[in-house]
Amino acid sequence: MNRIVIVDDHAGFRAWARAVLAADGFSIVGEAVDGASAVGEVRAVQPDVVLLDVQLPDADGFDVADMLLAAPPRPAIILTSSRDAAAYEADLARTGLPFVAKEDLSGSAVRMLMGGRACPGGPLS
Amino acid sequence: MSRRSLILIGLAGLAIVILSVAAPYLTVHDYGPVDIPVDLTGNLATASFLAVGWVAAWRRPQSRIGLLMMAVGLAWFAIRVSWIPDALAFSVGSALTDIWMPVLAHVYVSFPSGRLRQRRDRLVVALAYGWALAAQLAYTLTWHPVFSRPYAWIHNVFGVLGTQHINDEIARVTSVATVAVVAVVLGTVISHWRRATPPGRRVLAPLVWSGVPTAAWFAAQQLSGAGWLGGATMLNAVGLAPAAALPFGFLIGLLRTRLGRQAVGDLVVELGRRAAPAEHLDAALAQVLGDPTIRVLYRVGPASGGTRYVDASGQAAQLPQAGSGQGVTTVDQEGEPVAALVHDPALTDEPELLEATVAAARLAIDNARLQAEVRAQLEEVRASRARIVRAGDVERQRIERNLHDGAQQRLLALSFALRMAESRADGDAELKAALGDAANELKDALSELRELAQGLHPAVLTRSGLAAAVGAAVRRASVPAELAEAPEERYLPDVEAAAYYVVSEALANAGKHASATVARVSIRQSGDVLRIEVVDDGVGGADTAAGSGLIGLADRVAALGGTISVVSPAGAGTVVTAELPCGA
Repeated sequence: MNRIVIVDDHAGFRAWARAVLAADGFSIVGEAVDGASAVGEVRAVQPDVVLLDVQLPDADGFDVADMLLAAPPRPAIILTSSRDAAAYEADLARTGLPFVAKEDLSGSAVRMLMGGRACPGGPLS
Repeated sequence: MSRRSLILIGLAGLAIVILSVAAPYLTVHDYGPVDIPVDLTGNLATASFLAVGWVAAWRRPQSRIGLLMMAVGLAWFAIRVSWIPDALAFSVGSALTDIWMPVLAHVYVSFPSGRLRQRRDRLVVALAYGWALAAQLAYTLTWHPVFSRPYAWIHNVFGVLGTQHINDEIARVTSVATVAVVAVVLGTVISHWRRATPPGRRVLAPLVWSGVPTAAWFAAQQLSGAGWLGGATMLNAVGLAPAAALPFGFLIGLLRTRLGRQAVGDLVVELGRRAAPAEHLDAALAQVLGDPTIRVLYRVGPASGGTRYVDASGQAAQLPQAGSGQGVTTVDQEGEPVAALVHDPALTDEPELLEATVAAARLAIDNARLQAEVRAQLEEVRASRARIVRAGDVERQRIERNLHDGAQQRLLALSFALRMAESRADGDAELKAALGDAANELKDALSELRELAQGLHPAVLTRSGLAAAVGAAVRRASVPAELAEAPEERYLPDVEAAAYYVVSEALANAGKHASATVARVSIRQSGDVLRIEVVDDGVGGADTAAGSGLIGLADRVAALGGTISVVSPAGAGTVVTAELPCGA
């Protein structure tokens, strides 16, 4: 329950997120730089959770989330952005997806946002 | 057709009429009594088609209808050849008996221009000519009339086939088909009339009035002549009357121009009565010319480039292209067009009426043009103000995105690095504390930067619309505020931005200057207007002239054609109300 794919077009953020999440016990099984490759990567590696930037060069994170949730493996999705949640509150409220601001990213934040899915033996494991 | 050749044709026509009237007497008709009623109506038909056709050609040189009508008169006259006491002349005249029918059908279908513009019209006229030719040929070749003495010399020299019995049968069959062709022609005219605009109907109406009884008579005459009905002579005498009266139906159409002149007089009175010509000129012209689609376009000078046409309200307008189904009459001044009437194409068939109307309305058109020119310039200024505001917004949006993609990302990376370093400096408490302080400082800097970007352009507005953005502004406001209502619809970016800034500026004022304890925001759309209201319970006394941000907002709102008002009596709170047009 700790295999994660990081989707962001900023290489710097991906490197830092990898370091932070690895330090907190996550196993980074894949990375993607845009929506199209994210969908392919998730199908290929079947992660437990996807950290998904809202503003990707080719697509909107909310649309990518819809695509990822449309077919198995249906991983947990956590949206992130360097803007704060207020900029996306209408979409967040509509989709019910969890969100973490980039500066607040940590392994524990991800675990908390994954809810039951993070714990071994949780409802969906 | 030049006027000179028309005069010659007119004289020739007069000669034909005289000949026609005199024919029975000149030719010493010795083969039967002259049927006075039939003879009289026949002459009337010849004379009236020639005369009305000539008048039409004279008044409407561009239209071919006059020549076609004269051709009908001529065709009617051709029958008179059979009065010459000679077997060949008798045969030729008889063979030409029905030649006027397809020519008349041609007049009907091509009225009022004399031209066959549609494929269907051309087919109908071709059918009429083709059928008349075929039927007449079959009849003539089999016709074997036998006359008793002293007229035994009369016979049909073309009757070379079959017997009279076959001829009778041919007549019976062809008469029914001829009636069908007449029905097709009449149906075409009626369908022209049904599809016509009001001025077009005014021109076509006499055709329908005279055409229906004529066609009915003609059908009865055909059938009785072929033995289907009785009383042929009576029908001939009675029936020729509407046929002879037919051209006068066309003449009524011409006379309507005179009626139109009366209407032009009314126009002068009407324009004198109305104060502001620009608004009412179109309406007055529509009433006088019976064309509700008519509008005047004005040519305005170079304000930002070449000349162009605008409507009465100053909005840019295009002159219709040729073939667009609209007529255009230009109004010239010293050889230069200054305005153009865009009207129903049927009015092109009444050039005198248009000319007289333009002459009568010239002063009003000049005035209206000046008004339209001023309005066009105002419109241009308004559009340029809107463009300036929009350009500013686009620029703010661009800077917000640059801040977000550039400085913010770099600071974020720096903050990540500091936090990594902090987590690894476990051995050195002093260093760890210094790194922690730096990270916190950076967090504040990031949050200030985010505020700045947010103030430049709220990303949520572009992304999720007015209701979401205003909801966020209300929650962030420094004064406790509530959002009573806001429509979820999306509007044009300019409208959303203006509405959002009105709310955020009013909330900022409520917190900063008015010391309000509560504020209430409501946005409601009624019709094409978005009404924004922000009420607070502060000290009031806000002055839009005192350099508050509301001035900039007034410009922004006005650029969209909206209004903003601030009611702020001292000690009684402030109400900011803005109304923005939000029609699609």
